[in-house]
Amino acid sequence: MAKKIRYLDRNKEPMLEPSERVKGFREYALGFSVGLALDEANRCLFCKDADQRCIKGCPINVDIPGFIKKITEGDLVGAYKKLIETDIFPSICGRVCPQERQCEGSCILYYDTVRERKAKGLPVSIGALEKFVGDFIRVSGIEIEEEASPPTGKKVAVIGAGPSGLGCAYDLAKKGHEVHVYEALHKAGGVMRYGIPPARLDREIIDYEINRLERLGVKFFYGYVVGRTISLEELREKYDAVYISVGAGRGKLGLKGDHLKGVFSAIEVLTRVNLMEAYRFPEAPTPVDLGNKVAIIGGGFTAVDCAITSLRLGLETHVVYRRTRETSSARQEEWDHLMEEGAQIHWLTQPVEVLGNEKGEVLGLKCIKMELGEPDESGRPRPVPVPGSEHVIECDSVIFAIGQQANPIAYQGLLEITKWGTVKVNDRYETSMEGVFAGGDAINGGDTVVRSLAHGREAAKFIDEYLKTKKWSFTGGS
Amino acid sequence: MYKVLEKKSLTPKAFIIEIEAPHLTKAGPGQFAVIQRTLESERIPLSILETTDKGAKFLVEVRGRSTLELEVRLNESREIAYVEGPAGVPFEVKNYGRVLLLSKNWGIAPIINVGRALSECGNKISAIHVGDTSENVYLINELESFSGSVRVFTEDGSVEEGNVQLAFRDYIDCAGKPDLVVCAGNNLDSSLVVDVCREEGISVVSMVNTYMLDTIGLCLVCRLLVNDEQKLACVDGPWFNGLEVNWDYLLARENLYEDEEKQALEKFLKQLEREKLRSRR
Repeated sequence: MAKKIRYLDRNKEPMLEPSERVKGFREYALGFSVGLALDEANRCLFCKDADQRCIKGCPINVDIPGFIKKITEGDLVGAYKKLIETDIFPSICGRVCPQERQCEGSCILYYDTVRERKAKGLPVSIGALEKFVGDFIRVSGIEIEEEASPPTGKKVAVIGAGPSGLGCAYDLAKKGHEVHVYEALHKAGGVMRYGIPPARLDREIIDYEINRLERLGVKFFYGYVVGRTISLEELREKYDAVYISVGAGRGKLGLKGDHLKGVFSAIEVLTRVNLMEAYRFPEAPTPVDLGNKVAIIGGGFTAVDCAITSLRLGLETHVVYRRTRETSSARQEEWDHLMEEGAQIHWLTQPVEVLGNEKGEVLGLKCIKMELGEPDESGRPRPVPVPGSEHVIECDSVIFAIGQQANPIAYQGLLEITKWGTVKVNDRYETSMEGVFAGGDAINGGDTVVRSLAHGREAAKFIDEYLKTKKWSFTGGS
Repeated sequence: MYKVLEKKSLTPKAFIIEIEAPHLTKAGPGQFAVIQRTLESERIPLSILETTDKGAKFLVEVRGRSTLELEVRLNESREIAYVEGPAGVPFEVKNYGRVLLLSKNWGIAPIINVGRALSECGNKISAIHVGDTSENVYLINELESFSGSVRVFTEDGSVEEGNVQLAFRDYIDCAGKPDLVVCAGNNLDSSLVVDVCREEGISVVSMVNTYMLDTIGLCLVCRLLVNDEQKLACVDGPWFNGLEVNWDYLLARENLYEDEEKQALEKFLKQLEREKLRSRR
């Protein structure tokens, strides 16, 4: 009997109720049970041409039908092993990837990427399955042996313990190289640690993954700001190769009135709350003070993370974005969650000025309504102001979540850079200094966790080649 | 874990610690470090007093919860979980000629660090230190070891009564204009010093005091305006040409977390009292 195609009966991941979610920072997506995972896995059609579909949609090219097949066979260890061939952090990617625009957006049940047309169903819940497998292995206590090749005697320094650096460190360690990761902050994880709220990514998961790297022999040095504590040249002399994965986390402001005291960069607020646990103040010593009402400017992941954070701090939360929901780079379901939790989202609204008083306190955010006009260079319809639609959103604080800038202190004056201040590399992740590679947001200025992870792993391949051949092909230019 | 090799009390409000931290041994003059006693502790930026063979010495002035916590807990365990640094851009050391150092309270630590380097570079050094009270007067011997003249004042009159601006004016009247003024410790005092320097046409380099969080150039909490341009105290500073700094902006952002600091201190004091009660039982 032919297998019946289950177009529409996609299993939903159990969630905490909105009223419960806003009470604290615990994870709200509770994950598939074994039963749900098995049932969902059975929806997969195991397309023979999956490499043209979900696998291609995944920035790191996970063998999706491969790991799902293992779930249906009841072999979760096998599923995990299949996953970590490409995605070394399934519990993390399952949580933070925008699957609807990647693997799930290319699932044949939902969209036929080969014929380029919409299908009639809902995609397999690939993200939730990936998360399920990662979580299952982590909580089961099963230790998956991850063996490294015999030591090569080569040493590599990785600058920055974010997704890209960790991905690179993992692969290099597995290839038998000695890897030292230099991290400025006191904990590893980069944006996963200081940016993404624990409500989306429990900190235990990051600790578990760091522990896996340490078991592979990766050494972490905290409190090292490369460019200050130690220079790139010194590292280059001490190591056979260097990988720069410092991210692009410098906050960005830029609006009349942004000097006011209640104006924050997203990074500051997220770091206070998610890294320093200001939500436990005064038990935790680091405070955060956003007043009672907060306006968040931006429409991407960072804006969503700020809104998740401020709702959980019990604040009236406004998100102001000059485009529409459809053009937002955040996950669609995140917006639904935020609205359920009481956030007020102002689409097509352009902030023009932060209003304040003489004491430097914020009184409100002056905005103007927008409407969609002709497409701009990105192909998205350009928002244009509606005359006479100025209005004020009253608030005590304004958070700028409008993207980040490169943070060049590790490589300033030493490497060729792009006009955005990011490191210039060729397609082998080589920089203008021999033996120094770069990847992640340090070269692309602001992308997803999974894209950075992919860079780290690809770069590791080229670093390994370089360590063996000493061939260098960076020529500058383009 | 980093070992605290030495902890020496100077006054009831201030103490010196030497931390074993090999990555700090080569710190330049005027740089700072960030320490956290535990990984949950607040990140405290501290100016480096001097580098040693094994790490660096710091002056800690007890001002709020986290510095008090250091004072109390380091007596129980001589360990520090995290030391980041050296951070900031080193002071530009060269021969300026006659240099006047002006410090307020804990500002004497970076002033000694910078002053010693300036003296070794052939500058003629004079120094003025002002404390709120006599409890903020310390390390004067160190200051004297490389300065031609040192004067000490307190604002409450417990030592000779004076403030930074008056002492500076007085110095100019007696000794003439220095070629460079270096000041540290308090934004308001520094801004007043800068006013005098502007009137008198004297170069001045000041350390700015800001809140700091990540200290790696990301969060922008330490932002200030220098020549109307946004700069970060953590990676561009902490030393700036005082004449170019927008001091009003700095002063306005100085008390961002005043209420929270008070609350945290009260809470911690209560906790200490409870611990005392418990140990008495």
